[in-house]
Amino acid sequence: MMLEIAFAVILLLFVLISIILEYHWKKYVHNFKMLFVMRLFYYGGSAFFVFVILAVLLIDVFGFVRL
Amino acid sequence: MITLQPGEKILMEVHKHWLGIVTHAVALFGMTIALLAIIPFVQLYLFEMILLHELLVVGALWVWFVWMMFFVMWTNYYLDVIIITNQRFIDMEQLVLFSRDEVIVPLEQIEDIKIEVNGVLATLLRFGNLQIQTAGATKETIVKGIMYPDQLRACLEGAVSNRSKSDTIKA
Repeated sequence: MMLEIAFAVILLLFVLISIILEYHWKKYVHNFKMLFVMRLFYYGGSAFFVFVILAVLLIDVFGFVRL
Repeated sequence: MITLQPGEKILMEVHKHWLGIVTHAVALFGMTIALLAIIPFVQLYLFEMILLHELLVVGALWVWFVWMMFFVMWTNYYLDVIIITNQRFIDMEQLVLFSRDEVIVPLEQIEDIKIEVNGVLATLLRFGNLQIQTAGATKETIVKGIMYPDQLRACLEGAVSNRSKSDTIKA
């Protein structure tokens, strides 16, 4: 249960940080190529971490693989 | 984002030197590795065994958090920029998120430009400080740790010279 709570907290933090970063990027970055690269790495990396965490948590809950 | 005036063109855009962000990134990376290395020992102490799936989730959560912090850092670095246009010198300093300092100096007010490159590292990696004396209320503008200070000075001198020539022609 602690892991699920920790995941929810970090997910909430991710949403908050994303809103703050998007505000700054939209307002001040005028190099759109750089903005694309920043977004690609930021959201791409985050998606990868969410995938790993969800996969492990689901395996843990449903017991798809017995470790 | 800066709003250019009619007839204004960007001549040069320079960021702070990458050594600053690399130093911070290495520190952040070191902290990440240190904590990841500690987790198995904490598990061994608390549960007397290593739980693989918990290790993976906690590790991934920690690296994800560090990933977000890195992008906050990168945004702070990237928004710290100097822009020279054919009309103005603009120094936009992003101190932290939501804390910003902007200095705009019209080229006509620039009286003297000085650069400082201190030390072997600064010479090899080509970074230094730029100091601008102005005629306005703010007498001096100092920008620390910028890339290519010599090129920046050359560009600024050229822009100031062109500006004063065009002002003379108009007069």
